[in-house]
Formats: sequence, C-alpha cells, structure tokens
Amino acid sequence: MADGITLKPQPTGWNYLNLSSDDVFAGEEYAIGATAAVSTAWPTAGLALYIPLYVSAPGNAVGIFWQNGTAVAGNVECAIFDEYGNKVATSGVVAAAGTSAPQYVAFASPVQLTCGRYYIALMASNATQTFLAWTTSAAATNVNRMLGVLEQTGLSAGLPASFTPVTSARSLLPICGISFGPSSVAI
Amino acid sequence: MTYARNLQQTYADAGDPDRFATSTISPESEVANILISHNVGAGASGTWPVASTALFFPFTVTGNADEAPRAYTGAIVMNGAAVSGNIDVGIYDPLGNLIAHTGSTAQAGTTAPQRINFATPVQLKPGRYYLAIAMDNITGTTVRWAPTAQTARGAGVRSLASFFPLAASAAAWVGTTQAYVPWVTIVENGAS
Repeated sequence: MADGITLKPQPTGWNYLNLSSDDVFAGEEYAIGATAAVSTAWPTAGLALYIPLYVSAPGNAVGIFWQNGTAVAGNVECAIFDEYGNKVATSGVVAAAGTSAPQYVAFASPVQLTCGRYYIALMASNATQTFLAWTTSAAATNVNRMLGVLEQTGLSAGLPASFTPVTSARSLLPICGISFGPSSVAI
Repeated sequence: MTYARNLQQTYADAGDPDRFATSTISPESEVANILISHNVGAGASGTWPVASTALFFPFTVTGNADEAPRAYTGAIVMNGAAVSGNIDVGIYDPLGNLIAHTGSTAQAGTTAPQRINFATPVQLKPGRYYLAIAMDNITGTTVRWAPTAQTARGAGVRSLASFFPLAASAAAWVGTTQAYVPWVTIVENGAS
C-alpha cells in the first residue's frame, strides 16, 4: 500500500472547542469513561494548559471563549498558538467574569487561520478560578499526557509570545474554544 | 517539492484531525470509532491476553503526500493496576515492515502513563501505518477496552503470536482474535 493522500472531508464548526467535530476530544473522553464536565478549580495560579487543536478549514477567527465554573476570581487569558509554539491570537489578560457561563472575548482584529495544527491555551492567575472541565478517570491518571496536552507554570502575568512547555501530569481538560465568523458575536 | 506541514496549507480541507498525539483511541485510529459505536464502555485495567502476542492497530498520518513527514519522539502506554515483565511498542508499515520500536522495556508504574522513547525520532509521511504493542507475560495490565474480537478485526486490528520483542517483519500477522484494545499513544513532543 503506497503512502497516500488523505482527504476525507469532515465537518467543521463555527465554534471550535474541545468537544467539537474539530477537536474531537469528545470521543476520547467518552471512551475513557469521563463523566460530565463539572466546575473545577484551576490547580495552580499562573498555570497554562496547551491543548491540541486542529483547524480543518481556513477561517476568520473573530474571538475566543472559555466556560467559567461556579466561581470566578482573578484574570484569565485564552490564546491560540501555532504548532511551533508561537502565539498568534489572544484574548489578552482579562478579569474572569460571569459564573457558570461562557466568557467570550473578541480579538482586537480577526485572525485568518489556515488549515493545520494549533494549540489553544488557557491560563488563570488565581487558583480559586473555576472552569467547566473534564477530570478523568477511574482507571487512568495523567490523562493529559495521552492526549498531547502540555503545560507551563508561572504565567500569572499572561501567556508568553513563545511557549516553553513541559509534561502535563494531570487529568484536566477545561472547555474552551475559538469562534469563527464574518462578525464577532458572543456565543 | 516538499511542503512544510499545515501552516502553509490554505486549501479547504486537510483531512482528519491530528493533534500531536496519535493513540489507539484517537480519531486517527481505525479502532477508535468502534469503541463508541459498539458502546464498549469505559477503559479499565485488564491483563494482557496472551504472553508474547503482538497486536497491531491501523492508524493514519493525515495530510497530503507532499507534506513534510512528522517526527514522533516516543510512545506512552497507560499501564493498568498491575505491571509485570516487559513491553515493546513499535510502528509498522502496511506491509508489516518494522519502521521503529522502543525495544523490550520493563513495564513500570501502575495506573499511570509510561513513556518510552524511540532511540531516534521516527519520521512518518502521510499514509497508513500500524501501531504495534506486545507484552511478554499475562500478568501485566494496561488500561484497555474490550470490544468483541469480531469488531476489532473488522476495524483492521491484527495480531501475531510469539512475537516478542517486535521483529523486523510481521508479514505473518492475521486478523485478530483478541478482544483487547490497550491505550497506547505515540507523541511528537518530547515533553508529553
């Protein structure tokens, strides 16, 4: 069998998040036996998680969002990094606001994302801040490693222009995503 | 002409998702979907089915054939509640030729991921491959799923008895009769 071209079309969403057709952690979380995502305190102030994301069709990224849990505190930054670890778009460091609801931040200018592999990064400056997140599972630990999730600490002032990640020995997958569209409308 | 991966690609579709870690349960794996569609349930610790039997799971490195290859630095096995003996993880081409493997490695660390690096990162071009794993005993466990062997075979899973450590040619492999899908991933980033 020769090396081939793989061009199986797949759905692409207007909102890319961890459980969308583009990021597809939904299937893995189901297989792992994760229960529903729940409000979860951020484990360490200044921690950032870098979550793999695949953009399957070019698009006009207009904003970014995350799901706050039952308590908000401090600041949050959510950003897109390319596969080489360079920040290409960000919410900026903003105060967490609104419990049990998505928090959306429009980019200062829309960003054209081409097909390919990215990371979506999420940082909270305060360990009291909560996010809607999966924390799996009964049979396994450090699930983030199996999913390609990376992390970096000491970033309370904001995500870096270029990341220097280390192993993410956790089982924590917060829900966050990118909004595409011709216009910026909060989800 | 070879193109860099992804960021220069502006065509409308670059194929299935890939996210730096390709596992037996990720979208790039043929067997992943049957775990959901057959309602197999959550992964759980389970002993290796037959000592020295190797299992081969088909997966795809997505992208166009003229894209640059992707470099995988190692494999991670999610060990179950007991560890024993040795494991070997490797990658085969569609004809059963060994491309890379970790070599026999003592299984270590219960209910946790065990990373084992390849001697050198292995470069894989877009195409079809098999992710292989073998264990030399039936006391060691992995976090695994247990679809029926029939459904696993239908997803293209193959097996080969008396094949530890993984050898150069797996051309004698057959459709699996094992109802065992261990959680194994190959990763690109050295920090994973």
